[in-house]
Amino acid sequence: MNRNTPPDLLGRLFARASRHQPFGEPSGFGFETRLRSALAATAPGLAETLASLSWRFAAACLPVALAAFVFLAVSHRHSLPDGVGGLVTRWAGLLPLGI
Amino acid sequence: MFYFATTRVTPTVETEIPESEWVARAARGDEDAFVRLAASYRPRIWATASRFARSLPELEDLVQDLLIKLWRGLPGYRRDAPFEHWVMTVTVRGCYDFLRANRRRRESETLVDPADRREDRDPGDERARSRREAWETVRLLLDRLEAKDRLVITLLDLEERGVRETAALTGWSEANVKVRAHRARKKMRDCLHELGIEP
Repeated sequence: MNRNTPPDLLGRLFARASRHQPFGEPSGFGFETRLRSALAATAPGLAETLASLSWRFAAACLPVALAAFVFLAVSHRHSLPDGVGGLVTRWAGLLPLGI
Repeated sequence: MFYFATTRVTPTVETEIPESEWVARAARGDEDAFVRLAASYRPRIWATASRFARSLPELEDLVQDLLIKLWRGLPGYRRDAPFEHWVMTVTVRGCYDFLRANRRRRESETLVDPADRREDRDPGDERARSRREAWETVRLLLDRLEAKDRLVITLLDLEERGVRETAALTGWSEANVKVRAHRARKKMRDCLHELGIEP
């Protein structure tokens, strides 16, 4: 064994230390109240639920947006001599931008 | 898969409804069922967590965090493992996370154990004092170890669990547990020598 420390010193320390309960037994006072309060705090609200679903909304919204764009472009094609390019130009004019 | 034998006193929910039913209810989101289970398993979680906390408030917070982890993890609990095994696995891994998160802070702290004051009132209890002093020395040595080594030594030598059980609880291989324990004990013996603690 290394140096002058006997091999069983650490083992004896472990044996005695394992029978020591550092902070005693847990107190039951207020346990349930505190736990219920913590559980209530961890319950997800509406905002958290919506946030957790946002990626699903994004995936679902992309085809809907594309379909809406195609529908509007097709329904306006006769009123726009420049076709889809004209439609985009007209819509861009509605944006609050100094284009 | 290995599940350790529960030779110690197994916590049970004292009602006519079997524990598995309480677990099923809690997994479906029944808070009352979970509170019953938590009250039943809390002493064991407390005993394990008390080896890692530095003060009573810290221990209470740690146990509370572990119970919340259990609550959140319950929907994912698979019935093919004993519930007690799952609870202790979550507890041990939560304690490991706690050790890693608090390592830097605990290195600069002094040792404070409220049990010291409690036991000082009863100086005649030599056995209890001897155990407390042994624990203080062991904790001094544990503070010098890495989080993984400390966890392995705590489970093997202080909670007196076997290598297979420790490996199952930590998710590490048995060989890894053995090697870590061997190196950690060697480091602890070296520290004992440096501190001048002789038999």
